Amino acid sequence: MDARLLAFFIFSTIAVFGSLMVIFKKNPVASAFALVVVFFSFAGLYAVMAAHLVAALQILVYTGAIMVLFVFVIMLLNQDSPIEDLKASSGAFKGIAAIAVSGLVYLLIRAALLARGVRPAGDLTDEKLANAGGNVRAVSESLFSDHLFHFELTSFLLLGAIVGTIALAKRGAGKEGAAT
Amino acid sequence: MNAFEPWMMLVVSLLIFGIGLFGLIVRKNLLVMLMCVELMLNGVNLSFVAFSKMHQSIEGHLAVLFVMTVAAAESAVGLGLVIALFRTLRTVDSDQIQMLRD
Amino acid sequence: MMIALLVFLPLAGFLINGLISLSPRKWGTCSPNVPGIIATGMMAISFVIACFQFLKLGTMGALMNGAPVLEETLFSWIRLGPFIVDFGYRLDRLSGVFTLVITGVGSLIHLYSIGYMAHDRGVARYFAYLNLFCFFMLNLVLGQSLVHVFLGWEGVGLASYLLIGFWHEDILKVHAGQKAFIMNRIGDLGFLFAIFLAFGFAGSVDALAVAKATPPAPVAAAFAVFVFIACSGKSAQIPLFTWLPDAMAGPTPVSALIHAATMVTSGIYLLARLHPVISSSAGGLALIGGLGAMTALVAAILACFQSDIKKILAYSTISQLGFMFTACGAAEYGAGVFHVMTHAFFKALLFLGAGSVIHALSGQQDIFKMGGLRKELPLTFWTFTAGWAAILGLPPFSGFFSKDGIIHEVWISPHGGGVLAGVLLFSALITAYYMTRLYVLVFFGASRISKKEKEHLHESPLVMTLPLMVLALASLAGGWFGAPVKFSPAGGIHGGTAGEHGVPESLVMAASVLAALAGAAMARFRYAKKAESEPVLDPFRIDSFYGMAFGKGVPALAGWIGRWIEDGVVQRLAGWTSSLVGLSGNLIRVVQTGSAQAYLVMIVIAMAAFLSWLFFGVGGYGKF
Repeated sequence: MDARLLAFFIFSTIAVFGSLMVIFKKNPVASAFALVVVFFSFAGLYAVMAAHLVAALQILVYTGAIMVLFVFVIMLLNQDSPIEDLKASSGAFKGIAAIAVSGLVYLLIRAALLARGVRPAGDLTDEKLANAGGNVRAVSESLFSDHLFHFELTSFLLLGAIVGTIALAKRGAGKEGAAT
Repeated sequence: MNAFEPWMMLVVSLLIFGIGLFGLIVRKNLLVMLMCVELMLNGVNLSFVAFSKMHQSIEGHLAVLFVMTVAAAESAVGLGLVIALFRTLRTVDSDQIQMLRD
Repeated sequence: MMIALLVFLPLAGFLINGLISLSPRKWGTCSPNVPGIIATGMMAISFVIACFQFLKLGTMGALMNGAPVLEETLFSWIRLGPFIVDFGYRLDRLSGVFTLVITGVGSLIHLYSIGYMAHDRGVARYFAYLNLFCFFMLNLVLGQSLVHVFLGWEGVGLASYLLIGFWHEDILKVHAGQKAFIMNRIGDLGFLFAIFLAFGFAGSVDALAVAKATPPAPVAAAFAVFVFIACSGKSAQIPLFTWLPDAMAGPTPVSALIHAATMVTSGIYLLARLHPVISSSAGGLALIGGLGAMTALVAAILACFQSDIKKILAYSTISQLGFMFTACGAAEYGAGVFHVMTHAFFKALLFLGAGSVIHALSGQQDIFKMGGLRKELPLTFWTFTAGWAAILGLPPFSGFFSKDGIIHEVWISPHGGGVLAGVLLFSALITAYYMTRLYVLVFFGASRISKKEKEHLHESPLVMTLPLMVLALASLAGGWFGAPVKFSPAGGIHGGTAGEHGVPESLVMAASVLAALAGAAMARFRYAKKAESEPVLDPFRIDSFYGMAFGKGVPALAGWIGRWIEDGVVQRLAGWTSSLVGLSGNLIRVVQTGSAQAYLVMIVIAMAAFLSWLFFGVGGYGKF
């Protein structure tokens, strides 16, 4: 058993457990914090795979920005008390959903198992990566040369998101005022 | 099983994806539903990195980068929508939001 | 082109008279009778051309041996792969004889009609239809292919309908025309099936090609049956004969031309044309012979109970046609065709004579209201006598040769026999009886004519008596054509010397003359003194049977089926279909919950199904 495998098992257990808590906890705040735990363990999993940039960004973006926003909105809307919405759906519906999803996941896992021992499509071995200057350098070199256009596009996307969110959240004269 | 293999990561990612999907189906609170969506996206991110490792390329990491960006944008807009909805309907329970039904 | 010309001249007459009939002027009542002259002229010219063509045929080869033929193909009509029909005419000895009869006797009847229809308002229409009939009849006998013959066949049926119902203001006459047409149509169906079969076994519908073909026995039998159905309809044999007596509703010249001399003989023409393939089926011949003899007998019996002069002659025609069909059934087609020719002469004569009587009596047709007319209408009387003698079969009239020929040939033929000949002989006796009955009651004895009719009693004009005289001459002399004309289209002839085939012809001659005299004597004895009106009887009730079965039975059956199928089955099915749609709609509507999460479940299920199909199903990934 090597260290990586051990680390993998620990982090994946936490991740799975945490995600179960996300969906089963009654209090939305509890769900949010469980999700934070999940994101941290994901960072660990990325680290196991030597994806250093992604791991860092996971913590920065997901836990640092997105989850903060989530908690912010939860508190803003006073949703911090427990809710019984899981009981609201009928047992039959939950049963069917569980069977369907587990069926799908089972099939997908079986498909994933086909990937055992597959020949690698590329040739970026760990040594080569290290020689090239490490994970971060490799990603950024690829991002800002081959995929520069896509990078620029995402900036447009973010711009659009910002404008949209502000338009939505604004109070005052306009659609909001008439609706309320 | 002596060493870590990338396919094991695929299994984990699928589990997390499945859990997120189930949560999206059964929960009624909009905020929790959005959190389940984030779970699914993360599961997919994990699988991208796993494939990238499997095939010894760097493209998977780039995909993750973009997915993260989009996820961030999407959750911002989504939460903005929830707030706007709350202002009018005073609820975030999806069962209560039926004005377009029938 | 001459044959085509002789065929199309009557068509031209039809078109011209048709146009004239559309004009408001009353052409007939002014003299000269323009439509009549045009029509008769066309027919006369056609007759002259036909004579020349027939003579030309005669010079083409000895009339006895070989089969000389004049062919004229006008254009290619139908080409559907192997099904080829050319529009053309074929004049050989068989069609030549028929053509001469049609144009010759036809011209005489046209001439007669000028006088008979002199006061009718629809004269132009009448002559147009009459010419149209002759056009189609000529197409029938001269057509090269069976489809062409069928064209003529249908056409004469149409013309017959138009002419029977000529006085269409009287609805009964219209009904008679409809009855004729519909019964004809049943026969036409038989003809069509025969053509289909012929194309099947001969690969062609050319009449000569079909005649020479050799189909297997069951096919030949079926073919013979279908052809006989066609003949039964057109030539009024059992079972499709009840239209002919009703067809007497038309003007008398029409009855003479169509229902005595020409259209009703189309059946004999068809059988003679196709005779090799018909003869190859012994069963078919037996059917034709048997039904022909039965018809001859039954019609003769029925004629004894009629009192309308034209109806008696109509049943007589049916009976004489039965004689001809019996001859064909005994494979003695030559004898049948010879009788066609002589019968055309004397039956047309008898009908025209009857027309003369009716015309003289201003429309009276009941023989019990006539009598003693031999003094008042001498020309009519003497010509009628010639016809009477001919139909009785008294020598030296033509009828003697042809009828005697048939009885003799039927007796000695391997397909005929003594029984059939005996039936024919007995029918000849009855024929003599009812014809003499008519003859005596009309022309002899005390006059039973009403006073009103007596005032207008007059002999017919020359226009009408001239054809009578010509036909009387033909009835007398026509028999002497017997020797060279009595042939079968394949070329063999039958001489008439006694003792050649076991039954001496002289025996038959004597027997038939005796039978005729016996019948005549019986009738004279019965009717010479007393002449009270007799009721019209229908001992076999065939007409009423048809009326019940088809007139009432078929609508009832249709109504029953309509109720049973329409209301029972169709409506129920429609009801079930609509309920099914509603039910399935209700079932499926469950899926539309409106809840996005439910839809998400459906997506998941669909994905899982797709993946399992991909991995486990067709074109699977094998080692999964």
